[in-house]
Amino acid sequence: MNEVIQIFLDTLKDLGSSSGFGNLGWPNIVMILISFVFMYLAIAKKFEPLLLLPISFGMLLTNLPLTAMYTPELFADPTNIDFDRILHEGGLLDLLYLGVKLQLFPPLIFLGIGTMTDFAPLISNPKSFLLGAAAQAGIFLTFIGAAVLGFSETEAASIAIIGGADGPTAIFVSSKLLGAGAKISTGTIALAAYTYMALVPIIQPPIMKALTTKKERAVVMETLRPVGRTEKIIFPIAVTIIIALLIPSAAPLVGMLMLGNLLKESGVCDRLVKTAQNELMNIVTIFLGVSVGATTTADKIITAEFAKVIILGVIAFSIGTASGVIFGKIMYRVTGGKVNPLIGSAGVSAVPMAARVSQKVGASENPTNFLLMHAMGPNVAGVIGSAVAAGVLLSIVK
Amino acid sequence: MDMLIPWTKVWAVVITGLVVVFLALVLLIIFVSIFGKVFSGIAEREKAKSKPADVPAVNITKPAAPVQVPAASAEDDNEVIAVISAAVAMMAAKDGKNYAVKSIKRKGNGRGQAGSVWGAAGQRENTLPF
Repeated sequence: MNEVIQIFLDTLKDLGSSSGFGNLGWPNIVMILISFVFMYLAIAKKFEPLLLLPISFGMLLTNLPLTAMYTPELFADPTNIDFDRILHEGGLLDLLYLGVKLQLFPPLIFLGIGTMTDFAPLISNPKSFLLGAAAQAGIFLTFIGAAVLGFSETEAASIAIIGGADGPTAIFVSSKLLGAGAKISTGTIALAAYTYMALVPIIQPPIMKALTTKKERAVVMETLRPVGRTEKIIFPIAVTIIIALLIPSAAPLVGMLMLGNLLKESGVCDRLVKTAQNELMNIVTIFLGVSVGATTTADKIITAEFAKVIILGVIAFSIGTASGVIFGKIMYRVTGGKVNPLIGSAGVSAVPMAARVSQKVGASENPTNFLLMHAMGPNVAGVIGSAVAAGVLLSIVK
Repeated sequence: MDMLIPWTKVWAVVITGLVVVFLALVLLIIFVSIFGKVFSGIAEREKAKSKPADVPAVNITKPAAPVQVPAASAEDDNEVIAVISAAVAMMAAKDGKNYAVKSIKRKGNGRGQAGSVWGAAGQRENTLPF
C-alpha cells in the first residue's frame, strides 16, 4: 500500500515539476501582472486598443512558462537568422514574428494607412512639410539622450524612433536593429510608442500652451485651396520616386503608404482599397500585435533599461511637439502672422490624434477657429517625415 | 555611466538625420509647389473660359419681385437665389405681405471659416467631439 501511495505522490510531483505551475518564477508572475495593466489600459481606458490589446495578450502568452510559443534564442543574431531552425522548431508566435522580423507587417499596415489618408491639406499647403520635418527633431535629439544613458547604437536608434510617434515605423526600425541579445526588445519599443501615442492629448497641450502666446494661438488661417483629382493622383507617385531615390531604405514604408493612397485616389480600385483598409490591415494588425507583444519577455521588461525607455519615450514625444511648435512660431513670424503655430505640434504624426489636439487647443482660444484641416497637413507630412527618419537611421546605424 | 557610442558618431547621426529629413521634405515642397502652381493655373484658365460674360437675371414669377444679383459668379448661384426667394415667399404667404428680393450678396468667403454663421456652426459641430 505504501508503495502505491509513493508512486502516486511521485507522479504528482513529476506532473507538478513539468507543468507551467512548477516553472512559474516571480519574473513571470510580475510580467503577467504587467500584461494585465496594459490590457486594462487598452480595454478600460481605450489606449490604442486595436494594437495594445493584442500586444498585451502576446505579453501574457510569452510569459507563461513552457508554452514555447516564442523562442528568443531563435532571433539572437539580428544579422544572421537561422530560418531553417525557426521553421522546424519555432512556435506559433515565432512564425508570426517572422513577418515583423522580415519587415513585412509594418509596410502592409502603411498600405492600409495610405488608403485612409487624404493628402489634400498637404498638397494645398506644401509648407506643412517643414513642420512635419521639424517635429522629427524629437527622434534625433532623443538619440543623444539614449547614448548618454549607455545604450548601444542600435538600441539608441530604436528608442529614438519612438519620437516619430508612429507605431509601424518604430516596429520597422527596432525589429531590424534589435537582436535577442539587446537589452531591450521590439516589444519594449512598441509598448512605449503606443502608450505615448494614446497619451498625446495629455502630453502635447501643456507644451503647446507654454511655447505660444495668446495672440499666436488665436490666428485664423486662410482657407485651403481645393485640390484636383489629377494632383491627388500625381502626388503619391511623385513622392515615392523622390523619397525612394533619395533614401532607398525608406522605400518599403513610403512606397506602400503611397501605393495605398494611389489606390484610393485613382478611384478605380475600390475592391483593393476596401481589402487594404479592412481585412488585410486587420489581419496584419493582429499578427503584428501579438507577435511583437511576445518579445516582451521578463528579461526585457523588469530591467532598469525599460524604465529608461519609458523616460526617453516621453522626452522624445515632448521634444518632437516642442520643435514642431517652435518651427510653427518661426513660420508665424516669416509669414507675418498667417500661420498658427499650434499646427506645428501635429507634425509628430500620430494621425489623426495630434491634429485633433491642435484643433482643440486652437478652439479653446477662439471657438470659431478651425485648425483641424490645417493641422492635417503637418500631420500627414509627419508620417512621411518619420518614414524618412527611419530610413536614415537604418542606413547610418549598424 | 559609460557611453557605448562615441560622441563623434552621436553628432554624426543627429546632424545627418536632421539634414536629410529636411532635405527630403524641402525637395517635396519644391515639387508640390511647382505642380500646385501649374494645376491652379490650369484650373483658373478653364474657369475663365467657362465663365459667361454676364450673369443672367433671374425672374421669379410669384410672389416675389425680380431679383438682382450683383455679387453672383459661381454656377450654383441660381439655385441659391431660388432657395432664398422661396423662403422669402413662404414668409410672405404667411403674413400676407409682398416682399421683393432686391439683391443677394455673398458674405465672407462662404466656406465657413468666419464666413457664414451656419457654416461655422456646422464646422464646430463636426470638430467638437474631438
